[in-house]
Amino acid sequence: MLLQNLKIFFETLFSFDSKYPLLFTQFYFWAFFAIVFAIFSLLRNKILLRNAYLFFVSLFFYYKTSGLFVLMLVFTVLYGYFIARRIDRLKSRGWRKFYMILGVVLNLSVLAYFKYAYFFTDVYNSLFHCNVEVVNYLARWTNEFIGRDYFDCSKILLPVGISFFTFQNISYIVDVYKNKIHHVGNILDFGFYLTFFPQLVSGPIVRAEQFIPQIHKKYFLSRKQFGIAVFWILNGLLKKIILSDYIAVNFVNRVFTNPLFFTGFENLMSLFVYSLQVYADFSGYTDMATGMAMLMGFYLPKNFDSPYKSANPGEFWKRWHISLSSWLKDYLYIPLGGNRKGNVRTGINIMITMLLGGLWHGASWNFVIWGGLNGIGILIYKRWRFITDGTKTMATLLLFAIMLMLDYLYDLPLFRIGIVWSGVIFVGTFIESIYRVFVGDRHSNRIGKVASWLSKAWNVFLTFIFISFTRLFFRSSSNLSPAEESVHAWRTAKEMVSMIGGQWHFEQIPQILYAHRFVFILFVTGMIIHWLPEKYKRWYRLNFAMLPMWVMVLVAVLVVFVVYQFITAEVQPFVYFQF
Amino acid sequence: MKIGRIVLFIFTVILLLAAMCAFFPQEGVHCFNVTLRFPSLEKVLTRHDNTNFDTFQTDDAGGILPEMKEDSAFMAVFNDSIMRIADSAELQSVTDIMKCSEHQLKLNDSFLYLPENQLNYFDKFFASAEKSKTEGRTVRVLHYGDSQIELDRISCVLREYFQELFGGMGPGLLPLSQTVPTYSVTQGVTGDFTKYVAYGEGGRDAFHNYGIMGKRFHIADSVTFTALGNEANPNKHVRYFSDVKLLFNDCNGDFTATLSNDDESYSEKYISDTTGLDMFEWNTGYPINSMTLTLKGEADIYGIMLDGSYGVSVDNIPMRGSSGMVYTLIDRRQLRDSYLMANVGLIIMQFGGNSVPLFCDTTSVRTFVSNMLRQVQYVQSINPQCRILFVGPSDMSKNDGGEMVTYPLLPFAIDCLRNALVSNGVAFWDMYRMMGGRNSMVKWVGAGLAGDDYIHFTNAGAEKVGKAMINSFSILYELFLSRKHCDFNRDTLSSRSYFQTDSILNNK
Repeated sequence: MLLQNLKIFFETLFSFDSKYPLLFTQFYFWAFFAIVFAIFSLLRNKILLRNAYLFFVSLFFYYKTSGLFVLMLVFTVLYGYFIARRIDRLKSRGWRKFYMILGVVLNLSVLAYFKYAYFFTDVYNSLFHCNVEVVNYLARWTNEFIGRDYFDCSKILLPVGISFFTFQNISYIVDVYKNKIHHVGNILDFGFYLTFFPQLVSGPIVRAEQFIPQIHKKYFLSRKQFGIAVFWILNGLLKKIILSDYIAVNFVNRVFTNPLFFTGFENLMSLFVYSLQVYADFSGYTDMATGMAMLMGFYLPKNFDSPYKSANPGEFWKRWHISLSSWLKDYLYIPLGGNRKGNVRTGINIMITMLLGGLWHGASWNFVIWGGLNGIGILIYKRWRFITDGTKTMATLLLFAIMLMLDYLYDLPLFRIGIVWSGVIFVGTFIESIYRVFVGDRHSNRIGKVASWLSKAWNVFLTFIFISFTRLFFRSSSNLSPAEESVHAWRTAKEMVSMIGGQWHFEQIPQILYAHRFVFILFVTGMIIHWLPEKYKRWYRLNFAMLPMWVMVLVAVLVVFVVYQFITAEVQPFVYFQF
Repeated sequence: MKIGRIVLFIFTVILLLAAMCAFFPQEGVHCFNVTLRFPSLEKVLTRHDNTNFDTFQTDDAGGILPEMKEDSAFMAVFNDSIMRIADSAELQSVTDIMKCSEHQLKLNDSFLYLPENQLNYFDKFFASAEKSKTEGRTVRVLHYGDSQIELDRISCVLREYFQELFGGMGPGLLPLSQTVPTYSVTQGVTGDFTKYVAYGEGGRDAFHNYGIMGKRFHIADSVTFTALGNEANPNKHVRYFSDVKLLFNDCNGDFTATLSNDDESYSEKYISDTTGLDMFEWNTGYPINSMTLTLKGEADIYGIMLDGSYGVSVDNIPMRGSSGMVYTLIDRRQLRDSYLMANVGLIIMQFGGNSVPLFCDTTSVRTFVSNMLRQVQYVQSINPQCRILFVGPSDMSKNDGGEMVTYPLLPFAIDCLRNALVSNGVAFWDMYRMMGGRNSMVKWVGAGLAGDDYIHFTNAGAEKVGKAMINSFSILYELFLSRKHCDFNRDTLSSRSYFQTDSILNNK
């Protein structure tokens, strides 16, 4: 029986089934990783062989995740490699530029075809009132080439991780063009860089200048580094399963699916909890990728730096998805002119960067709106910080009055939220102004330090709320076309706003808190851990890393056991509040 | 650090986990009200596809279910038969039309189960709906249900269908205060009132005075009710209304109600001259989409109806958290009078979902079924002329060792419920089978048709259910039209062999 099961297991492990992609949260992936690592340990110092091995393992991983789309990944590797090589060998500035543009256009075309075909078609149809439909010509040609109907020609499926590896490819080509790096001599090395499996599907976006030097080094991992690698893997697993999947299934997804079923309080809380969920989901994956890469002796860049510690939207984007924001800064914002061409151009450049950054996250208008809201937040903050306290107080008071008037005239939930929001900002700004008038900017004494901490906490709180509200537009739905996606997201946002600005049923809040107590306890715990000062986080990370190996083994087993309890936990029953 | 130690570390963790898999009790370990579980080796090493369907297969090409099932072999025969009929003079033959309907019912996969297989079960309702125009009054369809019907997502599909067919407009019956909003109308209320409900949490009434919606609002002074139709609503009939009716009980004989409309300053005041259940009715003479109702005096308000002057009105009456055991709590006489005043022609009851998680054994299922039957019979006895359609619970999933699977007793409960109701003269529409049967909820969630609680539908899912329901109605209505057209004797027909639909309805 066991042998038969093992046979099935290995058959499953090495075959492709679209219903079962290899995910970091599944046992199959870790069995795959164990085998890969065992072989890797034999090849670790035979650099070319090791890199070739990891390249082919990564292709196999991608095949397990996306099937024959692996051919597209191979194609991306080929043109990335040969174009960069051509650029590096050419002396003529014009030709170098030509090949650089060719490389960028090719990458963007691949991305546009697979990710944005429906979006562009929808925009075209809206603008010209036509009804053009998307046909997957590439699938048709590929089916003819392989001689069977493998791909569905009626729709274009999105290959997993395409946004990450195309951006990585672009950065490589541009960096070679700018002479920041030389092209990678061996295509196997380059293939390994572009497809390294821990970061292939969910990032971070690794720059060639950061990673290429590592792939020529011999394997080395200290005892402490090993411990930290294990810590990242377990930390990521806990984040993903408990703080993301559990609270998503038991609270967030329900509210976002049918906002009108829930009170204003539940809708608002779901926005906040979603902020934690989306962070735990993304950073959990990144933590696991970082840990796995580290075990193999490679270091991925930091992608998240406790983003909800940010005191303003600008800082948030320096802490959130750092590899993407720095990519956008280096390859979009700065080439557009950055902040070098005056305030107006800087503002325009920020907005273009944020709008396209939004579009990168998903091919529909709601993501563009989300990016736009973040851009507006950054722009307002950039002006805000140079305004005097008195002007700030007056401005927030004026905003508050406008919201009151609009609510009186139109009686809309949006304006009621605006009243509360502007009122809260006004109170904070007013208190800060009064404090500054009487005490000044002295932070040396104890009161000054407390005031400074409170001011920082207040700004962190406001930034968290702002970011949470922008996420009204961030949540995507599966199985929807871009047009439907936008309509769906817009309706969800409208319904959530109508409930948040409408029916709160304050008398039921204690009941609601009790009914969703597990979710809220996890939320509060997650946020407390998130807001812990970095020195404490480093402390427990290092202490874990220095634990004896056998203790680490037991902790790993315990973590898997705990995680399994959350995976198999009964779905929280739907709680009915009679209102 | 030597890499061999890392390999050893990884494989030690895996071996320890494998040992746990081998030795951890499969029934779990109960500890502080929590059952700790760990998978068996077999479960880890093999994959279970939990999207197996016990009754109907779903199509893998995107959607879950086509409007009509496409059994290709059957479709070929069916199309052939249609072509043959169309090509011949037999088209007028009632027999062939009936056969077509029989085919259609089979294609519809028998989601609809009729008492004694009477295909004319809803004829009375269809006939009164058709006569409503000449009689100048609306026929009501009351759609009661649990939270699954909230937001007026399923009822609105039925409403649009019936109103397109028979005429009528408006969102129908509304409570004075609707705190779970609907897509069909925006309503508001100002002033003080006390709510009494027959289900869930809230004030109870010692005299069972709850009214047609299972809840009443007692006002002591002055209350203003506003309603605004959504002009952007994709369902065109629901946007406007021309008749406003108020169902109330005047407590002291001092109750007055004034209707006004901003656009045309339409205003009329009614003063009650009796106590007891009563209904005010305003006809604006033209469609309006907003109105204000000012109520003064002491009264119990049971509902406000926004209708057309004829045709069908479909009322969405969600009872959040209710398992449907609510009707016997409502005063019999009051409920009967309400049904008569409102001219109810069809009652749809959609309950069961809230009881499914509580089923622990077959006895608990049977108890639920007998209680439910009692409720339905109570309504039946109050209004014997009215047709009743019971919509069974949807598929619902629970977490079984990390996999979402159908509640074990759900299929059994649906079978029991169907058999009990159909054998007692109530039509049954099987939503569970319409979804695809066992574990179909998992697929509905994956397809964005149901939410992550594995209970409630999304808007798209609710629309799909509504369309499947009207599909069943439309088959029977066409049959009704055929019979009417040919002036065929129903009694004779019902005894004909092709009406003996056991083979169609009971072959699942």
